[in-house]
Amino acid sequence: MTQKQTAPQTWVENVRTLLTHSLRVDISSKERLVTPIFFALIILMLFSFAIPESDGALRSRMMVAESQLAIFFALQIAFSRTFESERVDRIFDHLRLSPISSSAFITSKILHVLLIGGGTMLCTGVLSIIVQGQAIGQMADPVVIGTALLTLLGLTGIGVLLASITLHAEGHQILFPLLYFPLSVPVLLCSTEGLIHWLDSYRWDSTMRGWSVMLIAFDVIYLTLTILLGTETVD
Amino acid sequence: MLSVQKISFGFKNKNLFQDISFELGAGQLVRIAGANGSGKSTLLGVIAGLISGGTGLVSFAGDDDFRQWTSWIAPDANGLVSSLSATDNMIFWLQIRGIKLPAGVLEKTLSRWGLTGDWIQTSLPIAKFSTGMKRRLALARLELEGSRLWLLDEPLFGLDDGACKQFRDALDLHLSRGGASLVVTHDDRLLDRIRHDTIVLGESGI
Repeated sequence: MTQKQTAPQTWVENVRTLLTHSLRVDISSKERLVTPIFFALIILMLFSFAIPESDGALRSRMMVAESQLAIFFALQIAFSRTFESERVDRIFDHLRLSPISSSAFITSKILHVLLIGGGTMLCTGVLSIIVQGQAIGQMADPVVIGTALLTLLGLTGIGVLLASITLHAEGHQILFPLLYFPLSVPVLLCSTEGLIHWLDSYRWDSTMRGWSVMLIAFDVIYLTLTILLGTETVD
Repeated sequence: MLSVQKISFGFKNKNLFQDISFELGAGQLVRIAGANGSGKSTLLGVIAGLISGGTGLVSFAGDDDFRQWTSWIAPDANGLVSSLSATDNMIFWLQIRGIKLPAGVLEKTLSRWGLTGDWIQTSLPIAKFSTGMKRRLALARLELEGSRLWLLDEPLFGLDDGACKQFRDALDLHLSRGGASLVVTHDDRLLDRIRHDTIVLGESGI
């Protein structure tokens, strides 16, 4: 009989295998990818009827705000389903009995959500431009994009942590948003206030620096908490 | 090989089992028997480390983290992603254990377990498999993982007579190669020709 080769995976190989697997599962069940984007499109469509056609300045600022809101709710759908594939057929128990590091598992989930979240953000941005047809300049501004990415990082941190905590909870579909909404307020507050200030003045002053530093601080806190507490939860 | 010392577990102030100790050496098999609800699957879960809250010590070759040496069959599930094919599922579970198979071995093993043909192996999602087909796939994974310790909880669930016999032969081969196994089963077909010891759980514990 032909011999197989067995060599325990390194931490990086663990992360790569788990991440590739998660993406493969997403691609195989397309509704998991399409639902957040479809949801974002609906929000954008609804908002487009609410803003006066003539007011250009208001419209461009509202466009950024509603894009943020659409991304926030779309990401909430993505986060709440982070561990969905592990909840069925005792896959999570099989993973617990496999020689994988729990920190590698959590890291792969963070990277997975960042990729899905980044894709959702990109699609929402493009849809926003198509639906609104204005303010392409604001949406393509490096500071706006940078702030959006930092927001994604913070929301990913808290989203994955809460998804891991509520993994085995009976009513996790209800419990998740109940915890996620209040805990995401600091990230959203820094992001929104920073963006409003930037779009008003286009000046990188002390106020803008203050909001950005606070946003980064919350990103670091939430990601650190996720890696530390998420690993404990998985164990 | 596997050392279980003074394992106890209970909930709501009631002991399900208390101070269970045994050793499982190379080539040995222990059957955990008892009536429904006597705690057989719970005992297996506590030994595997899937159920927390118990007391006692479990080690394998002196190591208390023995996941790399262990494979598990659950009574009511197979650990398979329903939207992926049999091959994609197998590749993931083998990769995570760092197992690289030579070309053609996976296909031959799946065929041997009755999952024959390119369509069944690579195209059909697991969601379309029957209960028995899913179980066959889980047992094929167990065989390919080649772990030294098999923790089996009702492994014959959903299998026809042919597959039962095939698994009995696979278990026999595993033991003859120096593997060990802890088995929970109500089905006498599995162990009628395999030498084993039995732990019987009752209302008063072991």
